[in-house]
Amino acid sequence: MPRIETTSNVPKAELQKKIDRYKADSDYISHTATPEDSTEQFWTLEVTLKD
Amino acid sequence: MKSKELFFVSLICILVLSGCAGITQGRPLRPKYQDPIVKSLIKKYSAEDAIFSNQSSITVKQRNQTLDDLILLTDVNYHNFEEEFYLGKAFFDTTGDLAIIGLGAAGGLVTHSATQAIISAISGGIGGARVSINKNFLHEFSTQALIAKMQSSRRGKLEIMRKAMTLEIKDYSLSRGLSDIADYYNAGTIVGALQDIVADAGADKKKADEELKNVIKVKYDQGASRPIRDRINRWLDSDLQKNTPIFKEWLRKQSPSIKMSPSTWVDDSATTQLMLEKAIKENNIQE
Repeated sequence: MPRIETTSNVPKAELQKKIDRYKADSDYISHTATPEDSTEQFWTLEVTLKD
Repeated sequence: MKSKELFFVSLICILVLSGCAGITQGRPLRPKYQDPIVKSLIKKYSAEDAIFSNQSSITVKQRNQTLDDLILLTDVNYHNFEEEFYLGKAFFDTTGDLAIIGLGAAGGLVTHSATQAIISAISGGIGGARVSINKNFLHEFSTQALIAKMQSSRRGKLEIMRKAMTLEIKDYSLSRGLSDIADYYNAGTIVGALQDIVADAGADKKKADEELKNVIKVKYDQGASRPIRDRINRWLDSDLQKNTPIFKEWLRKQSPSIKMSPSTWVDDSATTQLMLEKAIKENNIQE
């Protein structure tokens, strides 16, 4: 069963760097990023990883 | 009570008491051969020496014949019980509902306040009795749910027994088979069904709990410890392919082991300053 790690309140400026860090993890499977409001300044990042 | 009021009350009583009288059996007639077979088997197994006293000499064929006979008796007994249970409770619910609806309507027609009070009390009593029966005896599970559970539990037990009956005597003795027959019987009881429902609910909760354990939710920290977190992130970013596995291994070696991905752990607002400093020191992370 995969593991899901969700981080809320991620600043837009940090989002891509954070995604890249997850992609360097050998357990990384996929991710989805969702803006927390219409300003899109803060995002929730949900990453699926191998358990 | 006036004749008009009496007429309405009598009419309702007749409707309630005669309701659904045409649907009493809810099944085709039992085959004529069933009763003689059941009677002869009951007679056979009621005898003192019915079950082999010396089970060491029993053959597979003898064991299976005995178990098949007892399965048949258990099945006939269960089907009679299920039929009575279903029709008995269904009839009670239906008449109860009819009585409440009918008596409520009569209450509107009858003008005499004392008569209205009596009708209301009877109506409430019927509703209350039904609730009480459901709550106290059936634990508010529907008849259909209990029957479905009994049927599935019995099917499961029978499947196990049928498989076991293909085994040699040394692997599946008659005593073991008789014990399974008792389980098979219990699976077809209300108590057995309620126990299974509770056990299933427990198993579902355990599964849900296990699934929940696989979901980690954290909040990105923006507090005073942000500089130290950024320092670790900069180190990771300087060579992601090299440093990520190193840091992940360090997390796993902690006691208790940290199962998160490095990026989650570093930015998690629950990760303490003390642990972040330990990470910097032990991984020799430079400014």
